[in-house]
Parts: sequence; C-alpha cells; structure tokens
Amino acid sequence: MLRHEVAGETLYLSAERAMWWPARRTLIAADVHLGKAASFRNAGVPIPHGTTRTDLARLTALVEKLRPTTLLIVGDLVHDRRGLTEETVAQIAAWRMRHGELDWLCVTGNHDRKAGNLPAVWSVAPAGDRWKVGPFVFKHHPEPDAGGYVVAGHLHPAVELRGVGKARMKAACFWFGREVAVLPAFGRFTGTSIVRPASGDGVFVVERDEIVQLATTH
Amino acid sequence: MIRRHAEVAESNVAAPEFLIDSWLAKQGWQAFDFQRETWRAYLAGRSGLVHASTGTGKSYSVWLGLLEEALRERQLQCLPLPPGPSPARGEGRKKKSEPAQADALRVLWITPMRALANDIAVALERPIAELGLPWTIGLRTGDASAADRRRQKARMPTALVTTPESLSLLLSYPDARERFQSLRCVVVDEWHELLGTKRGVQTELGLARLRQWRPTLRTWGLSATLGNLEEARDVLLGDVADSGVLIRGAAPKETRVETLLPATMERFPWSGHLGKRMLPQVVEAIEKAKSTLVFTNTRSQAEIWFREILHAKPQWAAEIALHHGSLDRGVRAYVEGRTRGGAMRCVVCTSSLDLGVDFAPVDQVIQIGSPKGIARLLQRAGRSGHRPGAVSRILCVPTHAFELVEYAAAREAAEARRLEGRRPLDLPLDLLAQHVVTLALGEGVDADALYNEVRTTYAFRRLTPEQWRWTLDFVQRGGPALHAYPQYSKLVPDDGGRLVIRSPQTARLHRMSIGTITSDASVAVQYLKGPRLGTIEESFVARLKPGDQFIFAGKTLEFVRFRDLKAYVRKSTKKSGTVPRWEGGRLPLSTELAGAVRAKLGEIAAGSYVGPETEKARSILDIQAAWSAVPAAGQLLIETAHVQRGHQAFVYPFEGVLVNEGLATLVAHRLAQAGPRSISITSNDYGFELLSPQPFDLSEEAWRRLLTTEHLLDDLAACVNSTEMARRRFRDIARVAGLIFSGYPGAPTAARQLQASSGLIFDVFREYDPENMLLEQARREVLEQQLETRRLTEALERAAAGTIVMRPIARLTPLAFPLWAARIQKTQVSSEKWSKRVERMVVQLEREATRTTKRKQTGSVPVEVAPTTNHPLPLTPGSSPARGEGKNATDSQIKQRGTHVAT
Repeated sequence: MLRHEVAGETLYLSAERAMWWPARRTLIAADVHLGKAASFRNAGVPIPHGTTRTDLARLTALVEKLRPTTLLIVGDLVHDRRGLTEETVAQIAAWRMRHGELDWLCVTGNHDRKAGNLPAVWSVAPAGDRWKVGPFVFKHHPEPDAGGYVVAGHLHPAVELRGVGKARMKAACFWFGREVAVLPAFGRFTGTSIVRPASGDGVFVVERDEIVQLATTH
Repeated sequence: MIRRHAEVAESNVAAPEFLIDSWLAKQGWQAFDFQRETWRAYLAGRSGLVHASTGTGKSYSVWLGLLEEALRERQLQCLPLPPGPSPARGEGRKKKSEPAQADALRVLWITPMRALANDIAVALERPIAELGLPWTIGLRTGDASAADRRRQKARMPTALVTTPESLSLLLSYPDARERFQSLRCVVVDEWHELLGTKRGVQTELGLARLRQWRPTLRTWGLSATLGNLEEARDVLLGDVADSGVLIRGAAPKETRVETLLPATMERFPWSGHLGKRMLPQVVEAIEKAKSTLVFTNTRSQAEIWFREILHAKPQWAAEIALHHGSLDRGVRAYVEGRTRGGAMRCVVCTSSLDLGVDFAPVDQVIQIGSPKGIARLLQRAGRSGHRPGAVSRILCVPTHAFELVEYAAAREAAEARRLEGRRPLDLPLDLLAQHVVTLALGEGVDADALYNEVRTTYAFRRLTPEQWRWTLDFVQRGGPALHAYPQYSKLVPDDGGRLVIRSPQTARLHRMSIGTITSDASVAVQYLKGPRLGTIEESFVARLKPGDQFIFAGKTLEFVRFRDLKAYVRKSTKKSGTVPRWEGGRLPLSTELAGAVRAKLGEIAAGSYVGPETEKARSILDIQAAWSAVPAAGQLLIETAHVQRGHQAFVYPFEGVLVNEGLATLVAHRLAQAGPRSISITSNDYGFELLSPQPFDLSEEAWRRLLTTEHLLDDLAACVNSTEMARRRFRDIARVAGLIFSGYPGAPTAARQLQASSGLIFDVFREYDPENMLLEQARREVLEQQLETRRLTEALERAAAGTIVMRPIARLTPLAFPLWAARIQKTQVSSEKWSKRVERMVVQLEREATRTTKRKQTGSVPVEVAPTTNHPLPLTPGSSPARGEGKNATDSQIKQRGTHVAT
C-alpha cells in the first residue's frame, strides 16, 4: 500500500483498488457493481460465474488485514435490479453475516438508484448522495463540493501510459485532483475509461498486486 | 464446345438452341460461348462458379439461363406469354391489380453490398419486361422499408435480391421453409468478396439450410478471377461440389500499369504518409482526363488526398468528391450517381468503389501508394475503360521510393497472371453459435439433424461432435460454466423436442445482432442541427474533447459532445485537425506481390535495373546499398543501431505487415525468454523494428536461433497468449456470438446495462471459464488469419536456407526510415515486472495545464514516471516521448492517434 497525504489526512492506497483511512478506521471503495455478471446471464448473455465471489473474497482479505470498523462504498455497490438474483443476494448476505461488526455504508450511485432499495439482509446503511466526514465529502459523482475535499467514483478512471518508442499501456488508477479524488472501480467485472489528470495531480496506477505513483509535475 | 453445339442443333432441327436467342438477336447481341455453357449447365440441373473480370457479362450468364428455363416451361405447358410490358418490380401498385399471375419465389440473388442491390434489380428486370415473363423482382436488404417487408410477407417476389445478413434474418422467421418452398436457384454475386470472410461463412450456412429444404437447389457463384478458383467453387457448393462446374468467362481486357514518376528523386521523401510532393503531378493528370477515380489504401488517406486536391484546385469544389465506407450511405449514393452521370471530375475513394456497377464516364484510375495485391490492382484498373475495345489503365503514384519497386514487380506479376487466392475460413464457432440461435428462432433446431446439415458446409466439414456439443451447450445454457443454473437457458425444447426460443427480448437482441457481423464499434457523426455525415470509431471519439478539431467527410469539424452513440459536431472555421484512423487500414502486401518484390530487389542487388521505376528509384537504392545493403535473392537483411532511448534492430523479411508483425512478436518473445526485457515492435510490409532499452548484441548464430522453426507452434501460442492479439481478435467473435451488443448508431440503446467491452469479457472468460472454445477460436484466428502461420513458417524456412546479412547502421537507411516514422506500434512483449515497465513510461496529462509552454504539439504533454518511491522525478518540459528530437518535418505532422494535417 502506498501512503498519500491529502486534506491534512493520511491515506493508504491498495493495489486491490481500495483506500484505507486509518484515523477513522475506514475502508473506502467505489463502483463494486455486485451482481453485474448475473444481470448479463439473466439477459441471456453467458458470462461465467465467479466475479462476485472474487470481489467478496478481495473485500474479506482487506477487512481481515486492516480490521476496519467502517466499510464505505462511494456509489454503485450493485449493478442493477436484474442482477440481484436470489443467489447473489444470499451470497452477499452470507458475507455480511461473517462481518457483522462492520458498519457498512453506501453513498447512492446512479446504478444503486435504479436498482431500488438494497436487500435489508445486507444491512447496508444508506448514506444518501453526500456523506461528510472530517475534511472529506464522499459522493458518487466527482464534482467539487463546498463542504470539503471530495472522494468519488463513477468514472472507473484509467490513464494511458506511453513508453519507449511507441509502447502504450492502459492502467486503472487513483486520481487525486485539487478538489476531487476519484477512486478506481473495485469490481472485477467492470471496465475503465481514460482520464486526463492535470499537472500536479496525484496519480497512482494499479495492476494485480502492484501500485505505482506517477509523476505529474514538470 | 463447338461440337456439342452442333449436336444440339441437329436434334433440334435447325431451331436455335435457346429460346432466349431471339430476344438477344432483337437487342443486336450475341451470347458469349461461356454464357451458353453456363445456360446448358444450369438447364442440366448443375451448380457452379463463373469467373471473369468485371463488366464482361457474368450476371447475364446465369440470369438468362434462369429465364430460358422459364420460357421453356411455359412453352411446354403451352402457356401464352402476356404481350407487352409485364409487371414491374414487385414493389409497385401494379402488382395488386395482377396478383395471381406472378410466379412464386424461384431465385435468390445474394450480393455482398446492399448499396448495389437496387442497381442489380434494375439490370435483372430489363429482359423480364421485354420477354413478358410474369416475374417480379424484389429487394430485401437492411434498407428495405416496412411496406416492402409486409408485401413480401404476403407474397415473395419471383426473384429476391438480398444480402447474406438479410438471408439469415429471413431464416430466423418461423415461416421461412414455406417462403422458400419453390426456390430453384441461389446466385451469389461477387463471391470472391465474401470468400474468406465471416459473411461468406454466413452464406454457406444459409445455403446449407436452403439445400436441406430444397434438395434440387442449384447454386451459382459469380466471381472475379482468383488464384484458387476450384477451392472458391467448392466452398460455395459445399457437399454438392462434386457435381459443380467451373466456367471461365470472357478473356480479360488488356490492362496497362503505369507509374507517375517523381520529377526529382533527391527531394522525394523516403516515407511520406502523405506523398504530398506528388500532388502537382496528380492534379495535372486529373486535369487532363475527363473523369478520374483516385484510389487510396485507407480512409484516412482518402480524407487527406481529398483535401489536398481541393486545396490545390478550389475551383473544382463542385466536381470533386470523397467516397469511403464510413461516410453516410446517402452521401455515397449521391456521389455514385453523379459519377455515373459524368458530372464528377474526380472522386477520391477507397475499396468502397472497388465493386459495383460500371462508371462508364470514368476514363482514368489513379492508385495512391502500394497496390498491396495484384488482383486488387487489376480490379481497380478495370474501373476505367468501359467502352468496347478500350484498354484498362491504372496510374500508380508512389508515396515513398520503394513503392516504385512494388509497381515494377506488380506489373510483371500481373502480366504473368500470378493472382492471389482467398483462403476460406475454417470452423468459426462464433458464427455457428449465431446460426443455431437464428434457426431456433425460425422453425426450431433438431440437434442431430442440424449437426449433419452444417457439416455439409466447407467451413464446418471438420466440425467434431465435441465442438458441436460445446456450441449447442453454449447457446443453450451458456456453456459448462453455467450448467448448474437452468434458469439461464436461452433455448428450450418444445413439445416435439426441437430447441426454440421463448424470450422476446432474446429474439429482438439476436435479430439486431445478425446484421452487425462486420461493423466496427462505431459512432455516428452528426451535425448539431443537420444531417448525419457518417461514422467513426468509438476509440477515436473516446479521445476527443469538446472543442477538438478533426477532419472527416472532407470537412474540418469541431467536436461538441457525445451522446447516445452519436458524436455531435459543428462546422469549424479552422483549417487543421486530426484525421481519424480506422482500424481496418492495415491490408498486408499479398504473398504473391511480396514474392515479386523480393525477386525484384534480388535483380537490383545483382545490378539489373529494368524498367522506368527501378531506374528512377536507383538513387535511393544506391544509398541503401552504400549505408547498408540491398538484400539479394536468398538474403535476410538485419540492421542494428543504438539511439538515445534504446537499441534498435531492423529486420526485413518482406512478407507483408501482418506476417512481419508475427515474426517480430516471435523473435521478441524468444528474446524475452532469455531474461527480463521489454521490447516494442513496429512493422510494415517490408520488415519490422525491435526497440528495447536493453542492448541486443546478437551474433548471426544467435539470430538464426531466434528465427528457427523449432518449437514454432508452442512459441507462437505463447506469443498470442502473452500479447493483446487474441484479446483484440475477440472483439468480433464476442459480437457475432451474441456476447456484446454494440447496438448501432441511432438504434435505441435498450441494452445499456448490458454494455461491457469485449476485452473485459475476454478477461473474465480467461479467468473463470478458460475452456471456453471461443477463446480458443480467438487464438486460432490470430494464428491462421493474422500471423498467417503457414506463410510465417515459409518465411522462417527461407531465412534458414539463406544467408543473414548483418549491418550496423549509423543513420536511418531508406528501408529503416519508414519503420522509424510509422508510430503505429501496438505490440509489446515483456518479461519484466509490471511496475518496472511502468517506471519507464509517461502519462498523458490534460493539455490546459501546459498551454503556457511553447510546445507546438496540440496534444497532451508527457511527463516521466517516477521510480516506485513516493518522490516523483520531474522531467524538463518539452522533452518528447518519441525518440530523437523530431527535427524531421514528418515527425511533427504525424501524431499518435492519426495523422495531423495543416493546410
């Protein structure tokens, strides 16, 4: 994990695409899109099983390692209503049972809104559109907020890297701008979109179990 | 043939052999021998393939045979022919007044281009009207109106002109068998265009179904001349190939291949993407002719040349047009119509005008850049000189010096008629999956019967029971990975045990995806207030920001916003912008032409400069010889250099861009096996460049080991797995197999929540369903079609049998320069840790942040990446991500994602 200071707070960024805020013992992730594969299967598109299971296992690993008291999702915890099959709901409920001590909060993302109320058995506390803690405002859409430094998701950010000659590579990233930070999408079965950070922004690229900070000053 | 004619004449007691002859005589025409041969074969119940160059009466060879059959039947039944003009095309209101008289559906006429369907219908109609046959002709393509469809639902026309996709669609309706119950013949026009493509396989599968319903069905293909005609026939005819005939059409017209020689060679750029120096001569040539087609190899080049010509001659604005596959169909049709009418002085076009009806007014054809293939050059030449006795001429315009050698080589190969073949596809399971769903929507699927049926096609003749079971399982239940979940079954058995589809949503999504086999993930370009201009690739739009300028449809446009699969634009007053690059633009030099070029270079190395082109290229070839070498016959040239940012090796197998890329990937992979190393690859038709931060330092012996055929298949398989190749290939497969719904521009995006990129699905399959046969198909397609394993093996064998010539170079040689300047590099091979590689890369930043710096480049600015520590190392502004400091003019013009043009 890489240490990163922002708004006077110390954060740690994990290659697993989540962020650890030790001062508040809070684990933060964005765009999990639980049940997305199930939603595809429901529509007749044969996406294999296993993505949701993997995502839950990755959350488990982080929770066991860091022992957070709060798990905060900054939007798009679920993909859509069709993906909330009996099986998916049960799978997540079982996970929740094992981590009953956690406060599980979710800022409402555009996908969450369309999917309707989250299953009660998950006991996820809805955090509304905006959740203010300390110097931070957690929301789904990465827009500046008068209330503080924004931590958001939604974009599934990635940057394009260029190397020697014409080598090119795309990598998902954490992107810390002047007023807004965007977290990478946590879910395995999610895509990315290319963003263009500005000079001086904090950009951390991740791939499997590696995380690297890019320089953005000159 | 003459004898046979005599026999027939005898038995008919001096009556003409064919009833159609009297109609021909009335037109003042006389049938060619090959046409009569076709009629005889058709009337004898046989199938076959007729091949000839364009404009020599191929269509009538089959069509009049069909009419002859109808005339004879009417004669036998003593049915009178209604006098006077007969019903026109099955669309008109006339049809209602005489509904019972038209004959039932007999003929399907399949064309690869729906834009041609209308012209074909008109041509077919002509003899019918004059013979007074009670036939109707209808259209069924993606463009057919709802009213047409309704009419055809009530009653099909006697002859239906359609496309492979529309045939598939017809098969997806439950009453398909009934509709085709009196079908006698399927004619596949321009079969050479379909052969070797997935649409060709779609046609094969459709034909197999029709033959099942109509066992006496005759199939006739019309094709340009190919290097593998017998195979072309066998693919079309499937299991009835044994009884098929191959008929050679009229002798080809005389073709002359000429070259527009650059005035001065010294100033001639070694690699101009633009070749703009030739512009004045091109404009002069256009000025001298009445009507010129200017062919380019890519859509981007067409855009650039159109602008350049217009810039040179603004007064031609009303008489010059642009035509390529991404422009809106209405625009294209307008240009075609004006060209046919003789109103166009010049049309700049791509392969979009390779096919189609004749443009009689065209008296000159210009080819910009490499001809890529011999058959293609002849086909393009054939677009001019349509008057009887006229000679087809093509004027070639080099964009770099070595193309002069290509033209000389192509001319000799054309004279020797060494034409390319088109390799048919083998076992594309994605298409089989699509077909099964199509038929399940239709009358339902009997699994065993359908297995036997698809095995009658050439593409699936080797389909194993295992592959069949997997495919069936995949469409039915999503494959083994989803077995335990019956709720996901797409196909369900009906009362009779046939597999059918119950979900209307699945049906709708499937019918939508049938037609999208070839379309890229493209978005429409449309004015904010105004018409659609055409389509560009999604990946290009993804990089545009509001306010960005780009060049499209011959105009400079400003990007406003992207919404609902549409890129909204407004006219820009600026003169410059980026030209989009379309993915399809990498047609390789054909095997035949590549061989001819190698032979020509061998001659040159031996000191023989024959013909005006090689004579002209001599000064450049001399530089190549002095700084390095011109590879002689049997020699493989390797040049090595050390530049500021890495070590380079240039290797020249002259095998076409795809095989060269395959060879490069193979060599890079083998190098990376020896230790941690990253290599990036650039390739073109002549050779490839390897670039690595670590030195190569290889002896000739070491190069031989890198180029060995030992463990070739294993190494290639490893290459395909470790690079993006299979992942990229999977895009088409995922779409055909119904895994992604890209929709199409303008279509309602009902399936928005079902959008996932094929790359993402590929990764998920690889991780959670690695046995999925579509993954295997992606790998196979890379090996067979992209790397062309067979051709690649031959190249390695040739290298092993020959000598390797190694030359360290101090400056870029004429052969190396185009590789250095190309910047279309995509493939990277690496055995280093990911974070190690990232350390040497740079990220693209927002441009606003650097506006104050004086960089001329309008794109974004690269900034160096720090080592894994938390302390970024700054880099001085203005240093370029490219090698060298880019002093060359082309360097600043060629940008990463397309070619930048300023006029």
